[in-house]
Amino acid sequence: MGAPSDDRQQVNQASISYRQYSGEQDLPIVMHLVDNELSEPYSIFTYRYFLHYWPKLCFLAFSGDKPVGVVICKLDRHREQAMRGYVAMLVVDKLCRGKGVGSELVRKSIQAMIEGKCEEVALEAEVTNQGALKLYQGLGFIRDKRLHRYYLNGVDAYRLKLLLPLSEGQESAPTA
Amino acid sequence: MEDRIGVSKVVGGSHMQGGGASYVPITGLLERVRQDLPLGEMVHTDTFSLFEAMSAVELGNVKMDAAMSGSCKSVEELIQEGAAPVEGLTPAQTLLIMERLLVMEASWHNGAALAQTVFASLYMLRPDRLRDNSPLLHAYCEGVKATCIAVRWLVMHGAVAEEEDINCWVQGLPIPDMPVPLPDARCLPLLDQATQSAKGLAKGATAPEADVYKAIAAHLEFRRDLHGALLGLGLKSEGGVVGAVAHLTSAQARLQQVMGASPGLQQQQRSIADSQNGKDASGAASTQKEGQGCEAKQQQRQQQRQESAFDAPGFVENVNKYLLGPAPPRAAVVMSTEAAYAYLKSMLGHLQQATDVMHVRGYRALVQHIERFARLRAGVVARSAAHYLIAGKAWGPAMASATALRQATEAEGAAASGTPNNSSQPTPDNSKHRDQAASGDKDGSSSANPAQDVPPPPWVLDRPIMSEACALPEAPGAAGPEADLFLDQIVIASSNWAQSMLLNSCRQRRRLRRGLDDWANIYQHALNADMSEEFVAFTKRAQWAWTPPKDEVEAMNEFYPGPLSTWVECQTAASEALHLLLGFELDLYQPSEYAMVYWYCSVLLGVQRITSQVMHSYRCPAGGASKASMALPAKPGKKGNKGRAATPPSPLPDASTARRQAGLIMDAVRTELLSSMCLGLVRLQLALKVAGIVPDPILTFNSQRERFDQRFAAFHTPPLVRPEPMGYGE
Repeated sequence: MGAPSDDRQQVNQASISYRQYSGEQDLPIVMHLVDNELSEPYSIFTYRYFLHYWPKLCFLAFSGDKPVGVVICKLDRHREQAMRGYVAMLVVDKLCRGKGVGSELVRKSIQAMIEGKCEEVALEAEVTNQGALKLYQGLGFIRDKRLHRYYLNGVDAYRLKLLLPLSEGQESAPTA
Repeated sequence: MEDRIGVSKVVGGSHMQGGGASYVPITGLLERVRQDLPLGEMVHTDTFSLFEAMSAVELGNVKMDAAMSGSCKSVEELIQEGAAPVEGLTPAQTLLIMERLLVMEASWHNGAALAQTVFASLYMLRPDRLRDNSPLLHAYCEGVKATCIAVRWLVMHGAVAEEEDINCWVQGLPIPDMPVPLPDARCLPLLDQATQSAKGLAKGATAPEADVYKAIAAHLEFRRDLHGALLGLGLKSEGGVVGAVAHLTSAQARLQQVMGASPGLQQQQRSIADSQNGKDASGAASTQKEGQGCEAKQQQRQQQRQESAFDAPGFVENVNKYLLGPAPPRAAVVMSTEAAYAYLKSMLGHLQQATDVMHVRGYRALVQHIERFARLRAGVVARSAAHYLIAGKAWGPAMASATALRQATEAEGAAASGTPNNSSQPTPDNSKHRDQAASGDKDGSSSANPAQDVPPPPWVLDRPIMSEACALPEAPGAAGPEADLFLDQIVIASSNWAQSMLLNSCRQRRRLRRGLDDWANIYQHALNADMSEEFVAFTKRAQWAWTPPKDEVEAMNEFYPGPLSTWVECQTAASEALHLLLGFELDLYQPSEYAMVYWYCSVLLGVQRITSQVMHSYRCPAGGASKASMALPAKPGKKGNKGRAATPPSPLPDASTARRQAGLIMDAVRTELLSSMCLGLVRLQLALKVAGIVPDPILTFNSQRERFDQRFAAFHTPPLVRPEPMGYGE
């Protein structure tokens, strides 16, 4: 459970393994990955909010023993209407970028959300983060809205959304 | 857990006293508690759930606690150490400080905090120190403070500023917080006096010092004109706007002079020349990973700019960090001198365009003015001014009457000079501008009661202009209670629409979508009004060319659209179309989506065309004029038409009715054009798709149907029924 090391070992897709978040013992790994890569500050309460209530929506990626990626999500009813999944944080170690690790983490989390009867998935990404935008657009997300100066560094954000097809049970359920 | 009295016994620490509070170290206690908690167990209560805790800030965490950004001395300590000298300031230093304050002010307008920009200057925090030794800088600082107050007032009363646009936090700064202080003209005599002094000094000096004094005078005059313009706009009257226009024109000329003598711009030009001569080492470009290299260079340039912004005398970057509070620090980006001047130039231009509202007569002209201004993508100050000028009573406090402002200004001036109120005289050189700005109301300026409301100017979005929009009588009851209720509702809906249009473009798009709920609600009111007996009777009296439906079923039939519901449908379609088109500007659409967006736009523009034509066919006379006044002159009788005498020519339609009819025809033609253009773009997109240039995306989790539903879901949400929403199958 240590911090990512500086070794420059060749990383390929086949050597990456994925597993779900298993508990508090994984929290230091998660925090270290996110704190190192993302500019927005998060308190430990924020991590615990997501990981305590939705541990099954958090997935970690390892290259051997070294943690190289994490996705943290939640799923709840949005404004008493649709069941909305939310990708709170997605981080991939610089050495492993461009190898589909991020896409696979997001795919796994969306699959888990679908199993939880999710109807749509949302997230925010910096307008300048071309890598993230390409990743999510490749999975079918659309740019729903633009948020002016959303981040503390003054950069705008896109709210990305993915509308999922209704299942047979959801289609036949009476509307509220 | 032990109560507070026992804590010191547990941890064995000593009490600390500070600021009237007693502090007890509890680190040891927390360690003991932690050892007792199993992995995953958390301490929590009903009022401390994880959701609420997410907004907690970790004090002392540099990423989260703005006050942790490095140590800083107090203002008094810095002044004692000589960080802001008042004696011996050279003219060049004075000019540099003035320019730097201007740059800081521009940075504040563009999102940085006042505490980290304008009031990062020790001279602004303690301007009284300058009074005796540096009167020119003292006058300028007072002017900057007054302008900041005026801008803050305008922004807060303009009702279109959001937290991401501008930071109006003034806690701890020498600016009153609440109630928001009314802008005043107290600084104007001081600025006038300082300007005269600077010009006198320029005459008595030789180059280059004379040029510096001229530049200082230009700064002071610019400040005076800018403040005068803001005061004029705040009056929200025809006279006030006329005065503001004069000040803005003068301010633009002064700004050119200021830029011509700008030390910052000259320094920048020297830097560019140095780098072109190969003396700038940081100008070397990386050939590999050029994107990352460019980004790193941009960050480096921003860092250099940030450092040089505080190079001028008296500026200390973190002097107010204790005021920022326990909140995550927002990056305070100080603009470059060039960018600041470019912003100020455009701001003055946009304020000028906001004043064009004084030529507006009628709803259609007002809508065109708002749409034209919105397309400028102006900054928050200009947008606030534009909305403030048109906002009706529903949007904020009563207007600042000219009388109240003049009285407050004269009272303050008398108190400052120690002379009685009635003997205070305006400065001869600028009396015309000041009188126009301070008392430019044509109506009500002589009122003895400052609390008496001045009638609103004719362009304000209120009942008169909306009644003209729908050809309804303004007087309550003339067309029935349902029509009155409808008129009240469309004042609100149109006011909300105008506010939406003057928000920043990101919010504008979202608010237009949310405004569809308003239009849906209004549509129901319109249907009720169209069907009401009193309204039908009114239309017969006024001889509208509309056959009312026999019953409610017929009323819902598209072949019997009522005039009021048709008007609402037209406005709704316009809002929807604009919402979609804004998506292009905000770069929300991928090329594979262009076809469906343009297609839906063409549908909505088609609805606008049809509804405009229908409203034109109803020939609704403005103010209830008769049908006879709408008819064209009859043709003379033909040969062989025996026994039929030639009918006398009917009178021409009145001017406002003719204007309304002409406007409807123009709207129909314009929307038909735009609809055709959109259809052409649809065909182009389909051709590109067939050619494989814009392929459909490979979708893992959904299909094109869900993507269509996502894009246009807002148009399908009940209770919105018109325009009729289009489904994916269509």
